[in-house]
Amino acid sequence: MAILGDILEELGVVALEYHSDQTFHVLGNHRSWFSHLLEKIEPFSEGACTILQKDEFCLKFPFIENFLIDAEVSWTEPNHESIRSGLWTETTHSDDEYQLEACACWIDGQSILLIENHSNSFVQHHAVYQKARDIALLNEKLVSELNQRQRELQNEIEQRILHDASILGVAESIKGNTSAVMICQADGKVEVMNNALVDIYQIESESDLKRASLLDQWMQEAEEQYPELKNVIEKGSYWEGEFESIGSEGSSHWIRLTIGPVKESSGVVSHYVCVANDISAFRQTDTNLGGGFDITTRLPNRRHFWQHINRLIEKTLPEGKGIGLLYIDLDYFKRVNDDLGHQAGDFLLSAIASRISRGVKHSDFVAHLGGDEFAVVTMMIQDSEQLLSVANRLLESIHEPLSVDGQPITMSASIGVSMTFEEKFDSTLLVRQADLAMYTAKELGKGQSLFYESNMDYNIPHKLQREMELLEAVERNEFVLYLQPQISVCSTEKMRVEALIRWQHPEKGLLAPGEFIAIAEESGLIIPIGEWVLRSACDMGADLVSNGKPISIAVNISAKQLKHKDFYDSVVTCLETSGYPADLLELEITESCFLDDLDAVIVLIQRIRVLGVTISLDDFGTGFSSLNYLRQLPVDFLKIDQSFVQEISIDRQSQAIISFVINLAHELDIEVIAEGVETDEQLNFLIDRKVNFIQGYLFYRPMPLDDLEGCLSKIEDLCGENPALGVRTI
Amino acid sequence: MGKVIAKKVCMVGPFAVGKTSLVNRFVKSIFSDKYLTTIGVKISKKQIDVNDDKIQLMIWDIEGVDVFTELKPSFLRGASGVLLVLDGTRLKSLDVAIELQRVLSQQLPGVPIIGLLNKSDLTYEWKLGDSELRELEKLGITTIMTSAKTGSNVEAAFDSLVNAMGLGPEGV
Ligand SMILES: Nc1nc2c(ncn2[C@@H]2O[C@H](COP(=O)(O)OP(=O)(O)O)[C@@H](O)[C@H]2O)c(=O)[nH]1
Ligand SMILES: [Mg+2]
Ligand SMILES: [Mg+2]
Repeated sequence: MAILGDILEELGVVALEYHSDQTFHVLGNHRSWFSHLLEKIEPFSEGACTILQKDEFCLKFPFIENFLIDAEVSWTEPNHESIRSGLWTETTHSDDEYQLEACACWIDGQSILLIENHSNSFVQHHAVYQKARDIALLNEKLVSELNQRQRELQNEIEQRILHDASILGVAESIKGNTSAVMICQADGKVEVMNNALVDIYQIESESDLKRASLLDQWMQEAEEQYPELKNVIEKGSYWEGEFESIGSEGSSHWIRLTIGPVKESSGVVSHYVCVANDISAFRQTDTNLGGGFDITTRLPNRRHFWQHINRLIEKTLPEGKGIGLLYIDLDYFKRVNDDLGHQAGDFLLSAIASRISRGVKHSDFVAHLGGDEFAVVTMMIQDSEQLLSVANRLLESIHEPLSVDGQPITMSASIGVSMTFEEKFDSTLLVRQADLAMYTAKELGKGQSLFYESNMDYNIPHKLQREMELLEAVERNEFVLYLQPQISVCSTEKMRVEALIRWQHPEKGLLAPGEFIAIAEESGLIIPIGEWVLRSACDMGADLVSNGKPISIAVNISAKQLKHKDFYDSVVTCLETSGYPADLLELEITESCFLDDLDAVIVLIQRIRVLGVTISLDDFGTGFSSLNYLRQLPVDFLKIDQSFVQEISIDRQSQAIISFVINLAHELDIEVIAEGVETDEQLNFLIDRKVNFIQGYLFYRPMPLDDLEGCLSKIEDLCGENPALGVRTI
Repeated sequence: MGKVIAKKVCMVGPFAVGKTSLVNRFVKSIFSDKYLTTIGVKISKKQIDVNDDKIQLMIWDIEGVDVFTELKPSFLRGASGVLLVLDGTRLKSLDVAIELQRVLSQQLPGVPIIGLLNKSDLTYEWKLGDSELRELEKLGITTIMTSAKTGSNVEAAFDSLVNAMGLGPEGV
């Protein structure tokens, strides 16, 4: 027994046995360092045993007091695992320091607390940590200086472009700079790049890079971490950040990028100056911590996906076998997410993720690229048929109904497919092709899969470029308003039309809203465009009134526009300057306007209605919670969405819903407009259900003001009669 | 009659921001330019008078977080207040502090946290601007600029934490 005591002394350990009467019994002899630590605490003895009171002990050592809470749990747990406290420092009154660690364990049916004195080995232990932290501090300092230098360089280049206005001169001066520099035009076209940039991206020739549209690539790569990036750049503001970027050979680099716009005196962005530094070496310690998996779906994330696909480049496939890629993007996911909330959105993503995983071979690689985008990489492909059948199987399984909070929901997706049989294939190209094909599938109406074809590149212009064009369209006023009559079914009250915007594109001709409103919404251009529509509609309406034709015009208002702080004032101004009577103006809003701030929007709408303006609820039936809301919303009209109208002939459920909605609306004193009416069958059904107004190709397409004036008398005749029997012009 | 109340407060933050230096300044009125990294925990005590009461502050100086070390939640248990220390000359310390705030609000819901922007004597190297401060404010953290080196605002920092803990002159 005595020898054991000496061994403990040698190890620098004191062993205490914890008793249920809240005492600690010191096992073996009293250690000298321990009595030094105990200082004024007077242990008492019972025979050969030294005993400490728990209370006194805890008061002296608050660290142990805290540890005992965990210790007591571990002593009562059935598996009796030992736990350690971690290192702490005690200081005596004479300022001696001890580095200690406690350990709670269960030995031979006894609760044991070990206190280990690590003071001797602490010096070495400390030296290692000290060194590591000194280096980390230095590292941080270097990075911070590098950042400072990068910003200075960025600024210097911008100033030079502004003052010398000579891009060539700038090109010369940055050629040998160790920071990578790229200067591109507003549409992304590269004008200048230096050697350091070519180095990072391992490009064979400059012309390669010019094609690669690095700005776009960066925006995509950084988007996941910096969702605000696009907005910042669009607003023409400076941006900086760090993200992982993939070189043309698939190698990955952490780069720190700054992007600064150079603006002409008119405020229009002429160039972007981009400066990048390869900071991979600084980030090395961090990269392994990321995990590479998406938190929501637990699938490999975007970075992991790139790593995987780049690793495939190295693999040699058997003769005649290729690699296929499916790029999957959910349709309308944003709307579901907005309508049902984030939690439901996350739930949907996980559900769909598992459907995708279940729908492919075990050896296929499924990734969640972020947002509502997924990818499947599949090996050993023989031909495109094989891939398309996988894609179609996935489309089907994604489309199976889901239940979210008791509400049935069906999702759909668009899938782009690409494949390669080349040995050292270009992974960026493969992904880009699948992306393009997916994009085309969306444009062609969503819910389908498409195989990449080379002409797709021409069909889909850069989004950035489209935004530029749209910006110019606003400046050059390339928009026109078309008017589409709404035929009254049961009375001859005032005549009504909906104002619909068209873009007179200089090359592509007349474009419908579907081709540009989404971009306008995303870029914020919807505000000036919406304001133009409102003003033009009031001006047109006022003209008609002065020609003795008081016609009510309905104007579509986007949620963004409605929530803009100046919206109310701009309605008042448009009415005042045009002289158009307020009770002829109607605003069409959608359910999404009410989403985040129901009460505030209701107050705003009520103020607008006080002016005499009427409100109609557009796209009714496409939202998710419409019927619950309807009773609360201060609206005068309700427009049944054309997707519903079009299902009348096929779907009994749609018929039932429409009947129900019309009845409910009428109970609430809301008049109902059906839009997108194209067939007699639809018309008869709607008249039968006592809808108030009919809008659709069956009667009139949207038309310019002049044409409308030509057929006003015919419309007047139509209204009020039973339109089913009336004259029709298309 | 006054009584002695023991209260635990924690010094939390990235490494080398000056947690230990602040404690040393507050408890012992000393400062050293040499960086000696803390390993584990060290508890210092200081008694302060508030109204009629004496408060025994148990100040837990906890090893800074970095790649090697995470904040051990059990060290926070029972704390009545937290000083979340940042280094005003190191922007990166802001990111770490924001991470830590999340841990703190989970482990110690409702416990006051005061952000100390330390090394205020280094005006030329100062990096934390208004927008960074606003980020902290958004998390509900009031901040005080301190310098362990000059002693500026160190007492004030502990005083306002004690105040926020509901023990100060304005406390009930
Ligand atoms: N100039 C200046 N240096 C400080 C200040 N506070 C701490 N330091 C220095 O910063 C380094 C880290 O301090 P330390 O207290 O060990 O940081 P901890 O790891 O957060 O405990 C040391 O070199 C200190 O001398 C301060 O207010 N001003
Ligand atoms: Mg509409
Ligand atoms: Mg320290």
